[in-house]
Amino acid sequence: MAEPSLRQLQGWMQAVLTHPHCAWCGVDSDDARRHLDARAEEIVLPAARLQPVDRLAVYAQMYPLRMRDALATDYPVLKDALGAEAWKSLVDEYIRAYPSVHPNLNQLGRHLPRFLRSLRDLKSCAVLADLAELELAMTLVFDAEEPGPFDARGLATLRPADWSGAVFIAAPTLQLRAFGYPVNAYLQAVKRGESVPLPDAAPSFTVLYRKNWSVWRRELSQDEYRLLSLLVQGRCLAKAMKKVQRDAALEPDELSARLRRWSQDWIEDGYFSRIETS
Amino acid sequence: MSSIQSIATDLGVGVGLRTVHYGHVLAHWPAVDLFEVLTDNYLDTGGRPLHVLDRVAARYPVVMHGVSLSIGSTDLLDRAYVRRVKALADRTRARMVSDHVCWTGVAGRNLHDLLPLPYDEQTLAHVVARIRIVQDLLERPLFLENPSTYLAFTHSSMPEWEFLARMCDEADCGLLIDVNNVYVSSVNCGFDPVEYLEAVPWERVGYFHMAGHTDVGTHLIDTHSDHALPGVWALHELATRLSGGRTTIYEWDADIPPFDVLLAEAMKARHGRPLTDSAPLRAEAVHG
Repeated sequence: MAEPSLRQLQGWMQAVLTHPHCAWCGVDSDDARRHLDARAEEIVLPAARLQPVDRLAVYAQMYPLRMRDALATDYPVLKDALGAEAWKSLVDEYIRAYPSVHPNLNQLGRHLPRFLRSLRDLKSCAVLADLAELELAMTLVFDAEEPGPFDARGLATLRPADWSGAVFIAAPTLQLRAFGYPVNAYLQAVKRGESVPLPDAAPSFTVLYRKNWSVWRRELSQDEYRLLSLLVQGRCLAKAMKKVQRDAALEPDELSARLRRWSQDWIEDGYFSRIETS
Repeated sequence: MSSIQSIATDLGVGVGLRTVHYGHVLAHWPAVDLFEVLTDNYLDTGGRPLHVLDRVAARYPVVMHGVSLSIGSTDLLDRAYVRRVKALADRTRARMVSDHVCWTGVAGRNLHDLLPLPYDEQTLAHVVARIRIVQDLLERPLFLENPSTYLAFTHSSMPEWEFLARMCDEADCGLLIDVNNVYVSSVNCGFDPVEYLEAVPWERVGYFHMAGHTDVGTHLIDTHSDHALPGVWALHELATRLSGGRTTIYEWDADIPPFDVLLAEAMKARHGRPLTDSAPLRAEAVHG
């Protein structure tokens, strides 16, 4: 056969190595032939104890193992919940749907929650997707830019009349999540070493933040979650409080009292990098 | 841009910095000459890894080692990636920046493996052109590592050592010689590791890698999971003699031991090891 171009060779080899079954199937696949119509021995030399296709298989067998390892690093509790066989199947399907396109392997799992939600025939896909969403949020908080210390200058000069127009600027290390299942409590139980079943449906709200370089999670009430969400979206404090008060049918004094309690945590735990007033 | 020769000074013996050792390193500031950091682990994070790296780089010389440059891929060069590598090299005042002679994917995909290239004129021209672009973007020399390989192509027209020597000459780049890779590939691909090392253009070599590998019966796998075998240390001693001495970095990536075990293994490079009958320079042809 004529010497292949480097482009043809790489397309062929990638098709062989990423074939979902094996390198032997990969060599025979239409995908490989689309690049180069060749037998393995026309491309690869034999070794003393390995035939050409066996040598390709060395690389082919390492590919899914590497992907599984990478995803297991980001999704240890999801992996534990699924069990070894289901985890292997899930990863193999996932990397066919969302192969890595980023130089950093740590980015591989960014679509996993979305992928799980699309698997209607997977038992418990909704709760597993919530669990994946929580573990993804943990990696996002872990890798977020460090915001630096809270800028209290605006706070110190804030007059009582300015509070209503105050806008809270969220730290990049803050993530808020609303779930259909209490997955944070489940994850916490698993991390404590408890053997617990996947939870039944029930709304839950979680804030994730970083403090002293560690990722922290805290359960929120629905009202605190709603108020935080509106503030993170850029609503000023007065408008956000008015909406929460109306939606939750709370007395104004009651919500103000709660806000005083909540805001202490928010500032101490670095949810916000600064407060702006117009 | 500084010359290879002015950069490739002997910085001593170092180890690859790994996450499991962060706590030990920050608590004890161990007596090691330098650290090698995995470039890609610090490019997309503003969290603890980068914070640790800043602290380490403030106290030790650092060299950066990447796995995603994909210098041999026929996809467009990812210039944005190279610019991020440069920013990190500037931030850490990295003494050297390295990656591998390999490709990692095409058609936009990344297999995150160091895939082998055919050693022929077509590949050489392609790789040389890309190295020149990378070095211009980095504003510093690039050091490329000989990969561990598990296959060889029918249409390769030159041995790996000749490819590397010509690549360095034509692209004016540096080499990172992974001594364990020379050993592993010599067994898997059936060449003489001494002939390989004797042909290396030593004036181009920035530093050495050492690591352990695994024998799976039919071939060797570059697992970085153990102590280096005596035969690999013997090749390191030959490389040291031929080069006049270079920085050595010990890599340990699987079944990672306590830091002190890693350091003791790395320090074998400092003390040197005598060549003995139990440390043959040529890997026995158990695998042909």
